[in-house]
Amino acid sequence: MLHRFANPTRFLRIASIAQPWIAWATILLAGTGLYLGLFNSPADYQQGESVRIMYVHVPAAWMAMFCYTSMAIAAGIGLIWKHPLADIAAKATAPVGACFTFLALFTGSLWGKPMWGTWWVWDARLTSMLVLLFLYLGYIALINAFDDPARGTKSSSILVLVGLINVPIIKFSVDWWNTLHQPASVLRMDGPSIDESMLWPLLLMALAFKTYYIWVLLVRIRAEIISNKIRILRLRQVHG
Amino acid sequence: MGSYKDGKVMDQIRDFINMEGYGGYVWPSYLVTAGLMIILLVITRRFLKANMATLEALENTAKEDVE
Repeated sequence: MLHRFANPTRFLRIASIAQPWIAWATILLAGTGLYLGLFNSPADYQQGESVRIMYVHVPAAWMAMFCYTSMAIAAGIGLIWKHPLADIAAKATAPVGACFTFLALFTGSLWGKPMWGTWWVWDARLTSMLVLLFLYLGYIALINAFDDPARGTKSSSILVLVGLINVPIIKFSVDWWNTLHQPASVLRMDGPSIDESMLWPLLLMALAFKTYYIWVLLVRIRAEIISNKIRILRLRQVHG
Repeated sequence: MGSYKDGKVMDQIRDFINMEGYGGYVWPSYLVTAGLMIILLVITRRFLKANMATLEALENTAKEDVE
């Protein structure tokens, strides 16, 4: 099944068909999520209207970890089975993941100031998210640092796999250490602890962020496949 | 009567933007998130378009060389 879609030519064909559907799904989900989040959900009884930051902060933080895990899986497949599409998928995920991590930190800071009285604290959750941002930036820098793309891909894939240890640290940091950050209220063993009127816009925004990621990923993978073709054609011109 | 209603609507809009005094934190969160996501999408699409144009030019050159 995976091999069917892993063929670059077949992937390009499927991607060009799927892309407009994914784009419309993103727009519709984000539109509905924003409407429910801004107009049709109550203010929090403790945090007041500032709770609306949650509808962008939490999906961005989820996607920051999801993108990194996806990148590590793709990098692992690329390292073990030497599949070029897996390496391209890892490379294409990095900018989106870095963007989501920055947004989680930025919106978290804007939420932290009125609620905690500070823009930033060096506690486990915030620091491990900052480390995640540096891992993304390190990966992007490393993969582009070599003249030979194969060496860049191998080194950066190893970096991603080593950095994967940071993902469970982020997730469980609020349970393992004392922190200002609140514990999980949706992804819990005993089910979500937030009211449905807030849960729906949150889940819709999370879905919108996920389809946005797939949208950008499809465009970026197409661009990277063409970029590889360009490199091969140029090499052929030089040598022949 | 109309101006009274208009005043009420304006008050509602002002309240919505003010967000109980948290507007200065809520709106930058939404604006920066939307802005950055749109910028990343635009950059990625431009990257694809530029690569498609380069590939087409290279393939045309290769065809001319063969001819």
